[in-house]
Amino acid sequence: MKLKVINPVMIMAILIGLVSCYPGGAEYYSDTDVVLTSYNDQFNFSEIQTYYLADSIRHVVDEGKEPDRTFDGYIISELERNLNTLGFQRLDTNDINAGQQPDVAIVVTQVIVQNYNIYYSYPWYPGWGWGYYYKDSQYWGYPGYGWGYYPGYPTYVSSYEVGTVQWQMFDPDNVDEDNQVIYVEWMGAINGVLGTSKTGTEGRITDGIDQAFLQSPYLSGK
Amino acid sequence: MKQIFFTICISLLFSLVNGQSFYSLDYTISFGNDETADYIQSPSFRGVTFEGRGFVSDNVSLGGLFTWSTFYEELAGATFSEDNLTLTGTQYRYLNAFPILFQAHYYLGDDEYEPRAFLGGGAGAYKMVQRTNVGILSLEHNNWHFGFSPEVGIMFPVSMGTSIIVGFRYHYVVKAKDTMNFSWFALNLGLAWDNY
Repeated sequence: MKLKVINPVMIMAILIGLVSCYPGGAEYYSDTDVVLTSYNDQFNFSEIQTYYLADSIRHVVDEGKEPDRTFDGYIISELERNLNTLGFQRLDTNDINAGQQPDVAIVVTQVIVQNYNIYYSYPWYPGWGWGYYYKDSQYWGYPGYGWGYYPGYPTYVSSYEVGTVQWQMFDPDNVDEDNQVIYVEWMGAINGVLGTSKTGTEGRITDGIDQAFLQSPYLSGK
Repeated sequence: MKQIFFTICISLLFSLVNGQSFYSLDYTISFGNDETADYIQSPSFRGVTFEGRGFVSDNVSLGGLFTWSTFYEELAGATFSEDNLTLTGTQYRYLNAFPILFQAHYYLGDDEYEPRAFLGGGAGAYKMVQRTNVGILSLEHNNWHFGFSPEVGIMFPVSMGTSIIVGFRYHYVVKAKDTMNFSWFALNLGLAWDNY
């Protein structure tokens, strides 16, 4: 009995050839950008006329790191531009102090973390739902955590910085005073691996915020 | 699952040591079907199939098969909505299929120097690795499944003991846990060597 075995070199060559042409994936920082929005379908967005947008951004960074505020002004201005395009009027602190109350308030948080990767079990959508934020005596709705922490889902580790800009829209009238809870009517988040180019980052911020508004047609009452 | 794998390995070994047998190495092109096509529309041009068949009569062979096929598709800037949540991001979708099957085939005609059509099929274990990357998120299903695979094909003798083999195969993979139903068509083109 003879056992003729196929040339192992040929098998290896074929397998190596297959592996070498294994499909790729994200190549550029911007390929990792994700835009996520969610809203309360019981809220009547068509009644919004004025809004309050905080001038400052809350930063959440790894312990021992200093927040990078390079893009704070740019993020605020891009949000303002999109909100104004919808026909909303921005109220500033002077207006608030003068007794005007905005229809909605928006606060922005930036989260930068390192070694941040996630494995998901299906579905890959995280447990987004209607979260709530505790009312602070100084500010509306600063949470005790940042976007991207998904209870119950395991994580794996890599070694690059990931940034998230998230914003929440609140209705000052929809507040649970007893439990000090403010409910979120609309939220948006842009998330991606941080690059080093200032212009590149600004472009990604603009694209992300524009996309968030584009995929939220209900903001204009539609 | 181990028993299935063991049975298939024995079948493959049997096919190789049997005096009337051949093995083949094929290039495999695959086309997703049904839910698999919904997930990845692009056909797979990355595939290889290795199989061995041993004749138990002039017209019937038993054997084993191993395939590796990779499907891939990039969905640039894709937007998906579910309930009140909308997500936009470039998705990279991968599906690696590793069928390990026990096979049986029936051959028309009995002249090994003439083209011989065959029909048959296989059943056994499918290792399916499905991964979706979007942003920094990665979703992966990695499970063993049961599946089966009917096939038709033809062998063209080109020299003593060597044939060109062309086969058209359908793979159906039974759903496991919370995965989708996987199914695809595969076109195999390769060489078969008789085992003397």
